[in-house]
Amino acid sequence: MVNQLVRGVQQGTSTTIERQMQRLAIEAQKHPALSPQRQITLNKLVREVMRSECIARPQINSWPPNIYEDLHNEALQRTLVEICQKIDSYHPEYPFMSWVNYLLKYRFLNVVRDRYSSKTVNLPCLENLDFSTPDSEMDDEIAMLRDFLQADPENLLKDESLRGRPDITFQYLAWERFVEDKTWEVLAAELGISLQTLCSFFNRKLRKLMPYFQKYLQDSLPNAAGD
Amino acid sequence: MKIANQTVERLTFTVPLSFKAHAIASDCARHKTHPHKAKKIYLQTLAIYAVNVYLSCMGFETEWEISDSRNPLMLKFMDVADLDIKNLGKLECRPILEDTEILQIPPDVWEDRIGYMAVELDSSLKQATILGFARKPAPEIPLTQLKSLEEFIQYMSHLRQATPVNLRHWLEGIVEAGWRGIEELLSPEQLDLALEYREAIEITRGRQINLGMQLADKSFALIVSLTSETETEVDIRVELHPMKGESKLPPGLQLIIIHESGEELFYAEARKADDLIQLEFSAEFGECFSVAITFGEARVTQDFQV
Repeated sequence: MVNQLVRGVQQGTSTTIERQMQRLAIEAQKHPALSPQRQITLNKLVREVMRSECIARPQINSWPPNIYEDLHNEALQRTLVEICQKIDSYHPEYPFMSWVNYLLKYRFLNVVRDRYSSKTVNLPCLENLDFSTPDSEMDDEIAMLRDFLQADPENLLKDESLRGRPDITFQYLAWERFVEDKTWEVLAAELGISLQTLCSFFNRKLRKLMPYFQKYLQDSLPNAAGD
Repeated sequence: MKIANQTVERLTFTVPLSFKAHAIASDCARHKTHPHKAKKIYLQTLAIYAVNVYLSCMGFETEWEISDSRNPLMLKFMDVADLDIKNLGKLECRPILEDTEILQIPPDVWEDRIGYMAVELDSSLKQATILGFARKPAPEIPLTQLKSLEEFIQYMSHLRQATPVNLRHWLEGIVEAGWRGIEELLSPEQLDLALEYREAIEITRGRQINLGMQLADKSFALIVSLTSETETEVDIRVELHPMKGESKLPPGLQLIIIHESGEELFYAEARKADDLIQLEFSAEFGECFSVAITFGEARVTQDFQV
């Protein structure tokens, strides 16, 4: 009896939420892509989807629970983007969550397929983030960069200095940051100049000197992760 | 937030984090200089990932691959967590761990940012929630002082309108997001009418224009066509049509071309039963102009650069 009552209440709530989602979807369709009205409405719609208790769990019995959660999250994240980008193709005669779950089913298949081609990983939580495994490739890269900063083969790093302060060169700052691991706050206090001046100077010169770094460190500075 | 016994809920955006987010974070964290920085880079990368998903959902084009936060050298020297948004600038994305009340912004990123996003990371690292943003940097910003995502969207809309549409790029085949082919904007009957005059034209694109409250349910198609017959000049035709489903423009609707000096150059106004209004002119490469669409008090402008 009590159970039935609870179920009844939940169903009642989910119908209200479903109606709310449908209303938001229709509202979003009324406004052009990139209009603030559409964007804010889509944001509200995504919030309702993330809260929904009607999100499908495709293939739930085919995977161990710890892996399933990540597979499902990956598929759900892709589905959220798809909902927003394809909102115009939603037909309001169907319940909104049916459309979401239809998209989710296909994204789940994609994720499973992609995952077979990549190595299995257990995703870390905040507590187990661990970077103590030695990475010799990166250690070599760091050693090369350190040598480069010291050698400065074309003297470009020492030529760049802060206006009126020939003692504050790019080379000095780069060394203090990279090798000595000093914070900008400490450096600014040591050198008696403002934080903002220091960071702005370093930032500008680093961009200017980027081709110089690349010329000498090309092989050891691959681009960071691709997609 | 409780106001007068009513719970006012802040609009946030929650993104599930999984294999892809963690794979990119793990790759970026390798470019640390000191072990304690790896964790920081990892968490920052997850925050950027979440903002990137959010912006994709909102329809913005991002260029994360060429942002500083994906450049190994930048990651070695600077504390950066930026995300480039095409034509608009860099948005800084900063992680907030649970039970933290403050958004911290390091001096490395006080310059050259259009805003600072606060992204709360669940301790499971399986979920990120975008809480809000700040327009201007400060070393520490209490989360209670963040601007909302509604304000973020309005702010981005202003930035976008203030950024001129580059028509020279159109001729090279590069068109900004939001400008679509005319078949997406006009009905087949309108297209027949529009195509009659379209022999020598090189490119035609349009976008939907909403005039706000006054014409709540009315939107229009602003269509721009280019013909470049000489090396120095381009012929431009600007048209205003009713959107699909409507056949006439409301009388009194105005289309105005404004020179970069502020002078109104050309002007057209819809009369009773007009199905389109249009203006034709030429401009030299490098010139700027604006198109204004007005109806009563309502006014929308878009800047162009030739």
